Amino acid sequence: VTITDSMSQSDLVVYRIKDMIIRGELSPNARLPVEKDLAESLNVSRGGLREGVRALSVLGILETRQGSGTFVTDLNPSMLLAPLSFVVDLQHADDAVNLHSARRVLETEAAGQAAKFITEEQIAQLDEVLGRFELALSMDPVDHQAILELDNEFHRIVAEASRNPILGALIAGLSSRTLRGRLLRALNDDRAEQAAFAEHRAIAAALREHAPDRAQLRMANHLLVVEDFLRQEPAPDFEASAGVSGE
Amino acid sequence: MAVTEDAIASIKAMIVSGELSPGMRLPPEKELSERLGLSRNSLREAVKSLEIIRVLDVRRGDGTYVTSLEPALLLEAMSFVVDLHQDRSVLEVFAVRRLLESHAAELAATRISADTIASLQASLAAATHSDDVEALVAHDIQFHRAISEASGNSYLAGMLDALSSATARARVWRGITEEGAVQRTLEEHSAILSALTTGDPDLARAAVVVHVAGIEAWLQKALPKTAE
Repeated sequence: VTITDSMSQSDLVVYRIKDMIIRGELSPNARLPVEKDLAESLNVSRGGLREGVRALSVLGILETRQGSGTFVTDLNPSMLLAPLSFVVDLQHADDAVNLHSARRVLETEAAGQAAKFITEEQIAQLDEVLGRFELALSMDPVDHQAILELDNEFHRIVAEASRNPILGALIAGLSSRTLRGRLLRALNDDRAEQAAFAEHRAIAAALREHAPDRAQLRMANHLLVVEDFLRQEPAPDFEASAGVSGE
Repeated sequence: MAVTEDAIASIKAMIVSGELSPGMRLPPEKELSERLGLSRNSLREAVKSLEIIRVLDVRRGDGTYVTSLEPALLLEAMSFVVDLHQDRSVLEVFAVRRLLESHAAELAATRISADTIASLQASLAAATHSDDVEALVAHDIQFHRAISEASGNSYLAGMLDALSSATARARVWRGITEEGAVQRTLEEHSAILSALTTGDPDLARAAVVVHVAGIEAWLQKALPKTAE
C-alpha cells in the first residue's frame, strides 16, 4: 500500500495504524494514545480518526474498551482471518466444488498434523462429540440441527489439534455456518448422516492411534463424499437464508 | 460497535440475497440508512469496514459500488495478517503455503497454458541476471501467482495471496541475496517450471515442497529466538 492523495482520512488512519503495528511501535494489547494526540500525530481530523478506528475494530485489529480507551487486540490469526467466512458466504453456487476441494486440502493436512499432536483431552472431546452425534441420530425424527453443530465441533477440534493457528483459521473461515447449513440441507437424509457418522468415527480412531497417514486418508475420504455429491448434483439451493433455517 | 456490526450484516444480507450484485451501485447514504434503520454514522463505518475487506469500493464524488467479489480480491485484503505476524507465526504461515502451493502446482501441471509457461521462462531468465532485490521480488510474485492462478481454483489462489504479503517476500529475498543463495533459489524455480512444462503433477508438487521447505528451513535459522 502506498499513500496517495486520493486516500481518505480514514484510509490514512487504517494504513498508519497498521504500519505502526507492523513496525512494532504498537504491540499486541498496547493501548493507543488518546484521540486528540493521535489525531494530531497522524494529521487527521478526529472524525476521520474515529471512522478508521471503528473499521480496524470490526477487522479485529483494535478494540475499544468502555471507559479505558482503545487497545490493539492480541492479533490472533483466527480473528484476523475472520473476514474469510464472509468471502465464503458471498460466493456463488457454481464455485462450491472449488471451495470444497480447497477445504479438503486444508483439513486433510490438519488431520495429519493432529494425529501427531492431539492430546488425551482432545481425544476425549472428540469421543464426547461422537457420543452426542450417535444420540442425535437415534432420535425420531433425527435431530439434523444438532448433527450440523456436532459436525462443526468435530472439525473444529481436529483443526485446533493441528497446532497451526493459521491452518485452523483458514479452515474455520472456509467452513462458515451458512455453507455447512447449505451442504447439510443438500445431503439431508438419514442415510447420508449415518455414513458421515461412520466416517467421523474412523477419523477419530486414526487420531487416537496417532497415525498421521490414516488420519489423512480418513479425512480426505470423508470430505470427498461431499465433494463428489457436489460434482454430481445440480447446484444446491444457495438462496439467501443466512445460517440454518429450521426446516 | 454492535450497531456497526448490524449495519455490516444488513449490507451483507443484501448482497447474499442478490439485491446487490457485483459491480452494482449502493443506494445513496441517506436512503440506505433510513431503509436499514441505522444512523448515517454507523452506515459510514460499516461501509468503511467493507471497503477495507474489498467488498465495497468507495469512489469519491461518484458513489459506493459492490466490487467484483472475486475470492482472490477479497482474500488479498487479508494479506496484512501476514504482515502483522512476522515472528513465530511466519513459520505457521509457510507450512500452510507449502501445502496450498504444492497442491496448486499439482493442479496447474495439467492446466497451465503454453503462453504462461513462456512468460514464466522469460521472467526467470531475466531474474537470473539480476541481483536487485526489487526485481527478484517482482519475479517471485509473478512466478508464484501465475502458478496459483493456473490451478483454476480461485480459493486456493486467493488464500495464497492472503498468505503471501509483498513485505514478507521482500524480507525473505533480502536474506537470500545477502547469503548468496539467489542462484540456488532460482534453480528451484527452474525445477518447478520444468515439471509444469512436462505436465507432471507429482513432480510439480514435489518441486514446490522442496522449494518452500527450503525457505522454511532458512527462516527457522534466521528468525530471532526471542519471540515466545
